[in-house]
Formats: sequence, structure tokens, C-alpha cells
Amino acid sequence: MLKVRIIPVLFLMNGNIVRSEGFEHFKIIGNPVSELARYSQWRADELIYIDITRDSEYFVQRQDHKDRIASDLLSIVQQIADHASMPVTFGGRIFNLAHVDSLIANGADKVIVNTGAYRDPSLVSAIARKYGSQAAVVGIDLKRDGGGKLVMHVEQGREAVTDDCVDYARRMEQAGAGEIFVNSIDRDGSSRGYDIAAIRSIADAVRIPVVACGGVGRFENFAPAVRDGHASAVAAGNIFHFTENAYPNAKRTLKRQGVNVR
Amino acid sequence: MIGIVGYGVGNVRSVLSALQRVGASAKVFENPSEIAAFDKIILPGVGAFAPAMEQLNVLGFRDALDDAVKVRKVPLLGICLGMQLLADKSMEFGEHSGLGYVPGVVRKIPINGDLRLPHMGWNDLTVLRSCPLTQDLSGETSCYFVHSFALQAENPDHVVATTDYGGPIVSVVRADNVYGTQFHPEKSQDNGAKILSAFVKL
Repeated sequence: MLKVRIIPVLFLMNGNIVRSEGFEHFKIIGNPVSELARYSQWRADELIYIDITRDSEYFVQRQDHKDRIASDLLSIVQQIADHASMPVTFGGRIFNLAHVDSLIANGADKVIVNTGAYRDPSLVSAIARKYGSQAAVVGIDLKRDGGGKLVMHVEQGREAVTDDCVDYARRMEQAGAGEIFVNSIDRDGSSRGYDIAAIRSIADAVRIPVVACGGVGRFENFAPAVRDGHASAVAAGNIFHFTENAYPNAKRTLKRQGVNVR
Repeated sequence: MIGIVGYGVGNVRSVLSALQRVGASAKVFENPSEIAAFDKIILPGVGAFAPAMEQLNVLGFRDALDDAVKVRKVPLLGICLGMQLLADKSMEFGEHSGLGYVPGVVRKIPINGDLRLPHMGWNDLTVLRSCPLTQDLSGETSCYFVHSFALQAENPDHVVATTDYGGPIVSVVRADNVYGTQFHPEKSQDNGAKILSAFVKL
């Protein structure tokens, strides 16, 4: 039977791997290519790299400066893809097909689009048409408001939108997304566990795989996303960066809790 | 030297990198006339069947492949969509003819209940008959799959391995010098490396 995937998420900022906490604070913890060796040794199922560089470089008007940033990222993508013997997904500030073309030409297997898909759903269809649905992952960032209601956000958590996330997930599936990545940004870095209800409401509404993210602090937090949340894959950032032998321990814990993993 | 068909479909970089990792000499070729230089061919592929077949035809790979495969009897490995292209035809978005090297039809994976498409992730191979590609696999046999359609082989003797996803789906085929893997061996870590290595050593 198909195994549940355990996917480390790595955040890239200005070419370094960083830890995030609630999308507000960042700390450099490593270099993308050497981190890959660690995950390869752990036989990680898959990797997701998200570029969260959102500061002024991307808004500078000088084209040559923008191009240098872009080519630095692409050369990182290339180095990662050349050494990765498992699928790698890249994301972060993807707003047009040309950017996707560059990432895939440099070795990305899948791309994840968040704000870009929200602003222009036809981007998802374009990716699916050109590379297949499996290459188009749509990310949905969620926060619960004071009353506990799920609010979808874009722009790396800075802008709340009124779309219902379940309805949005369905529309993205229809647009051609091959996978939905559900991220609880208020639980990010908090170690409170996944937002199971949010994951489940989306997973139950679509027939494509759903990846859970946001909130893992203990290895025991993974299993509920599958058992109760109906996720096909469990993702996390911090726990894999800070705990010794985190990946094998995550796998062991999931197995012990009866989840079918590799 | 292994030739990887460069027809603009599929991530040839990954296949090239994976072959280099197992110590093979390989090259991506975009001109069909170069095919004579290779003693083994890999046909990668990602995406939809019809546009891929069209690319092969339009770029002139059809005749070159037929000659290499049927006349020179060069070993050919089709990966993912590349394996599906080996079939007689596919029912994806209409009915489209394939290369016809492995008799059979490509159809959507029949799913029910909780199963989702694409079939995406690591899943085990159940090896049904001996084959050089799979002979080094033992114990944990999972490989990385990502597809929504699967080849239904007409001749059961061509089915080397199946994988369970709502029932058995064909995961490895062999018809004489033609081989196919529905999963991506270049993305399947050690098991994938064993399979690629075995192909290289044929």
C-alpha cells in the first residue's frame, strides 16, 4: 500500500537555511546543500524548500540586482536537484510560469504556489498543463481568529482574505493542482500540534493528496494528521532542524502509532 | 554510453544525475540521428501522453527508436510516462497511439473510497518474475511513484512487478529488450539506484 510521506520543510532566506517562528523571526541554521546530505542519509521521503526571502531585494527596481538574486537561487536549486535522489519541491514567491520554467529546468520536481495561485488561479492550470498536475502544489496558509474561525492568509501571513479555505481548495483542485499543502501559520513554531480540524476539512473536500504542516513539536504530533486529519503526508520544519536523529525518530513514532510509513 | 532521449518532456537532468551517481556514462541527445552512438536508451517522461507522443513524432524520434529497439535490439528503459509510451495506446484525454513495444493499453487507475490521485509517494514492488532490473531488490522494495494512469499489459509474461494501489497496478514491465518502470528510479534512492545500476550492467 502507498506509504504516508514524512517531508522536512526547509526555509531558504538569502541562500541560507533558516528557522522560522510564527513567520516573524528567523535564525540562520545552515547551508542548503550540506543539509541535503543529512536528509539523504536519513533517506527522507521527499523535501520541500521554500524561499522566504521577502525583504527589499525583491522590490529593488534595478533589474541586474534582481537577476543576480534569481540566478543565485536557481544555482542553489540546481545543486540541490543534482544531488537529491528523492523528489524535491520548491516554492516561495512564484507568480508566473516563467519562474516555474526556470525552477523545473534546474531540477525541481514540483513547485508550490501560494499567493501566486490566489492572485491568478490560471497559473495553476498553466503549470498543470505544461508539466502535469503532480508538479503543481497549492499552498494554503491558515490562522484561526479570536473566535476560532479559520481565516485564509496570503503574502506570507500578512494579508487575510475572506475566501473559505475548503472552497478554495476545491477550486484549486479543479484548476489542476495535484496536491494541497495546508499550513497553520499560527501554530508554526509553536509545538502545539497540527490543526487537525483544518486539515481534515480540506482533505475530506478534495480527491488529491493533502500535506499537513505547521505546529509539530513532538514526534507524537505527526500521526493525528493522518489518522484524524486524513492527510497523505506530514510535513514539518523545526523538529527536523533541532532534534538529533529527528527523522528516524519521527518514522519510528509513526510506525508505533500504526501509520504506514516507509 | 547510455542515450537519454531529449524530446522536451520530463526532467532529463535528474535521470542524468542519477546515472552519474551509479557511475554510468550517459548523455542527453536531442537529435534522433545520434541514436546510433548509444548501446542503451532511456526514455524519460512526465506529464500527458498525447503531447509526449506528438513530440516524439514531430522531432523524428519514432523511426530512430523503432530501428534501435526492433532492429539493433538495443535495451530501452521507459520511465514513468516513458513506460506508458511503450504501450499500444493510451486512453488519457481521448485515445492516442503509443510506440507499441509492450502490448497493452494505458488507462486511468481505478480508485475507490479513500484513495486519491495522483498515486503519489513511496509504494512497494511485488516482483512476480525474475528480471535483471529487479534481481538486486530485497526486503524493503518501495519506489517513488507519481501518476494517475497505468499500463495494463496484454501479456502477463511482460509484467515483472506490480504495486498495490486499490488493486495491483503494473510497476515494472519487460518485453525482450524493452523495459519500463512506472515509478521514478532516479528519485527512488537506493532501490532506484539498484535498478538503474542493473540496467547499466545489462
